[in-house]
Amino acid sequence: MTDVMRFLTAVYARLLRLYPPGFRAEFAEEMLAVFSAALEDARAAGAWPAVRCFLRELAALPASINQASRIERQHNTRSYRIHRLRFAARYNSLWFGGLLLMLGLSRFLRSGEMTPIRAFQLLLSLSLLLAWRWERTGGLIAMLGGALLCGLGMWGAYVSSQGETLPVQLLITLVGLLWGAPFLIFGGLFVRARTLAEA
Amino acid sequence: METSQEHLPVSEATFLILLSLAQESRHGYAIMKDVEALSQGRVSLSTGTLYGALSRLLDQRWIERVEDELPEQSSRTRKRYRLSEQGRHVLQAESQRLEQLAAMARLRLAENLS
Repeated sequence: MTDVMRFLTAVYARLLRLYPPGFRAEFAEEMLAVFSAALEDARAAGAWPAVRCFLRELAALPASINQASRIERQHNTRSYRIHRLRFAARYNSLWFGGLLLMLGLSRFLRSGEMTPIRAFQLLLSLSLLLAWRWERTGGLIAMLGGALLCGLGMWGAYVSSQGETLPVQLLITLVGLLWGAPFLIFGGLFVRARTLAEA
Repeated sequence: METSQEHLPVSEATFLILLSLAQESRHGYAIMKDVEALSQGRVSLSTGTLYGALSRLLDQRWIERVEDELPEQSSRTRKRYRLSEQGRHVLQAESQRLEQLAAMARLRLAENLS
């Protein structure tokens, strides 16, 4: 490699610093290697092709930096969305799951009786808290349990509200539905956050 | 569910990069040279443009990156790119679209002449 080639490669390496950090970390080394190879090939064809190769890079630089910045922004937007989603899932599940877990445990300690439905609720509350660590598994358990609770709640409400007027029946059924809905929603948030993070 | 049709049309540079990877996986410089050869010297990608496009294609999952170990420098790896299944569908769909357009153009031109 001649001094001129070495100089042009060094200039290109400096210019790579203009790219956004994430893009640079991922591609800069490869880009420099490709540029060196292209420059070497061009030099074999003469001085002018080598200069043209360098000028072509220079001319394309603003557009490609702009494109790389756009890509980086999209990545950042996605990371921010995941962060927000995860925060919402954790914050809400901490309150909701934690509250239900404490309520369930205190009732169990007071009465000494563990009904199947209470055990199920405790398990679901626990799964919401476990989803902090195992987002997909915890989230899926919470979602499935939530769906089951919704169904049970609606069915129970419907049966117990027989003989009431239709609006009252609907209201009671809605309350029954809401019984499992938070598990469904917060579990879904965890699963969504994990899916986005893996994408 | 996303279909390949939703991504059409693709830019000429994207089409040529996908086409370059249709037969085999290639590293960056080989893609650059092949794109130039495929376009008969008309499209000459700069390194920045190429990697901007590769980054976007990786994001869209139309291509995948594979790493080759370099035996003489064991700590370094060379990256190659290959067409993913999704990328292959997009390339096929775009080829069909271009074929239909060309057929239509030929038909209209023939009608004009007769």
